[in-house]
Amino acid sequence: MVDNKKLLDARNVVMNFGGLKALDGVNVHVNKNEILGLIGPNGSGKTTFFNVITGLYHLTDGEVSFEGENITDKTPQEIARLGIIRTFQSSRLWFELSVLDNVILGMYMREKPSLFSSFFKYNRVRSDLEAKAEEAKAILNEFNPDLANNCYKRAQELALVDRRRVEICRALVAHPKLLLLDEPSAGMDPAETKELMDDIKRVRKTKKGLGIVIIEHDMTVISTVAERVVVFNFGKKIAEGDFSQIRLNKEVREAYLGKE
Amino acid sequence: MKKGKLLLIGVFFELLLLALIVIFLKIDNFLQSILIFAVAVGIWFLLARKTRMVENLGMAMEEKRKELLLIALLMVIILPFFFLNNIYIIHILILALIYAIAAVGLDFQMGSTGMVNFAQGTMLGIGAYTSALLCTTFGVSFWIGLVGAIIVSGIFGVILGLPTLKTKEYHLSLVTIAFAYVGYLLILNMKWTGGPDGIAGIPKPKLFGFSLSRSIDIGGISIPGKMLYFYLVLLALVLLIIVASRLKNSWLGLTWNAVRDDEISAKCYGIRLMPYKLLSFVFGSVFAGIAGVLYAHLVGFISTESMAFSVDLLLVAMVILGGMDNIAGVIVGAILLVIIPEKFRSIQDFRILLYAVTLILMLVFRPQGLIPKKVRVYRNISGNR
Repeated sequence: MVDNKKLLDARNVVMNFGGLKALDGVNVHVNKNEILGLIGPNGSGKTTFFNVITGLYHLTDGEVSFEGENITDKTPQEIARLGIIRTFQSSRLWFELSVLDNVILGMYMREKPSLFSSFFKYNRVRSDLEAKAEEAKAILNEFNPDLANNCYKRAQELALVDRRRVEICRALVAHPKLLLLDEPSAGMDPAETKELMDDIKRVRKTKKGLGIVIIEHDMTVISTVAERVVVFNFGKKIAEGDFSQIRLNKEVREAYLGKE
Repeated sequence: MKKGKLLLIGVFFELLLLALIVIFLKIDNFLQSILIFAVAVGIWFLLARKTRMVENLGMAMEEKRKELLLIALLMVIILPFFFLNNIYIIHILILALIYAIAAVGLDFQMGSTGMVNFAQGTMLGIGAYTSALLCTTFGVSFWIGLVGAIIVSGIFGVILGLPTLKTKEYHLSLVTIAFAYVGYLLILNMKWTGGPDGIAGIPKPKLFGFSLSRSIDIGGISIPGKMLYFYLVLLALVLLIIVASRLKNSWLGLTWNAVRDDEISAKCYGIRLMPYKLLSFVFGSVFAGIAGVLYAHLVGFISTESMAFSVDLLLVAMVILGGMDNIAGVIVGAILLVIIPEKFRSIQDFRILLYAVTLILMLVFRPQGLIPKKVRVYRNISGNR
């Protein structure tokens, strides 16, 4: 019987790069309606874990399933279509395109673009794109009204903070079931970080069933937003639980502060 | 700014461009050509400094797009009437339009999808040879030759596209260069393609029973067949521009751009790379094939000269000069690079030099091209921006 509370279930995941074990048999699951914090020192395998789940890396051993379906051998495109959408640590927008185009392209999977209609139903394709542009502006406006006003700027002209916001907007319009955020607050000041976390909490409330995994360095951020925390070190999961438990865990303190 | 005034600004610049082109083509004197060329460059530099002027022009092109495009088309339609006494100039104009078709096709790869393809001239040759062979050996009409060339160049687009899918950037360009040379050498060394002798006696197309090889009389004025051919090519160009702009302004254009800007991001949003890259090769090759057919039936003779590597380079240069991922820019680039060198034929060696210097200057000082691409604009539905 499949546990229908579980959205993602990664079992015994191993990822080797030559002799290096980037992930060494980790077990992580994400529930529906949950914000999971994924923390750990640099190089502990957090981003590798995202790359494995989204199909960018082929894992060496183990199994990943999503809503009960085995996705271990699926391509990144198939996994995205199932509803796993991620952001990137160093933002990966389509930089020569406008902010608006970036968000519209996030809706690609909701479409079935056909060559036939771009020739013969061109007006319908255009008015459909215009409607999508409105939707994109609305979500940009929710995150930062400034972004909606400057939506014709090229993505490369944006400040780092706004790039991350656009990346999250682009991910949300893809209607994800599981959202993976890779250090969304890196480079933000405390006020901006708080704003972003409020936005993330708001998103979670409005989208029913959405699971979010968030990689973070900032412990105060994790303490405010994550309901459950998983700690990685050297490719292994060393702790799991709510933040107050994790904070007192001896192994976690050693990983972050060194042995006493 | 008032809309009427915007239209006026746009029309003014179009007239200026038309005047420059006509004067440049009219004069025979080498020094005068240089002078006109210098004046044109001067005007361009002056414009580049007056940002207000450029802004207004940009706004005019956005707000009054349809009107300005229509006026531009009318101007191109009357263009050959300035040269009724000099058929050679009309021939040059036709060549400019033919290369514009191939360059717009090349832009699907270079501009939209970000793949620098050095085999577009070869594709043009493949289209030209297909139609030439069909028409001379089987005696079919121009139109059947055209359909055949579209199919064959589309197939070769897939053949070129498949190995390039595994490669990126420089490696991809190298694959296309290899393709170009293999194609060139094969056609040069096979018997049934005429080898180094090429194929002669390619018939002129017939339109409604009129052969485009002879002049016809309309109301006492004799219209040369070349001029009718000009309109045939212009019609093809206009149709293909409509096709290209529809492709670029729909989902296909957006996904092409996504593949160009970041493949990993594209993958993570469900965009499959292979079909889109292949489509960009197929569409580009079909455009080149059509250009090749028009070329073969214009000149009446075809040899490997028309698909030499210099043609590949010339097409790439047109896209870079005009502005990648911008149809208007690419067409301007194609017209300039056909017309300008023609005038400097009197000093053959310097002609190439001028051409090379122009390219280097462009890449150093204005890599985005004469008319850089713009971001897509979406009409407001609800009224608030």
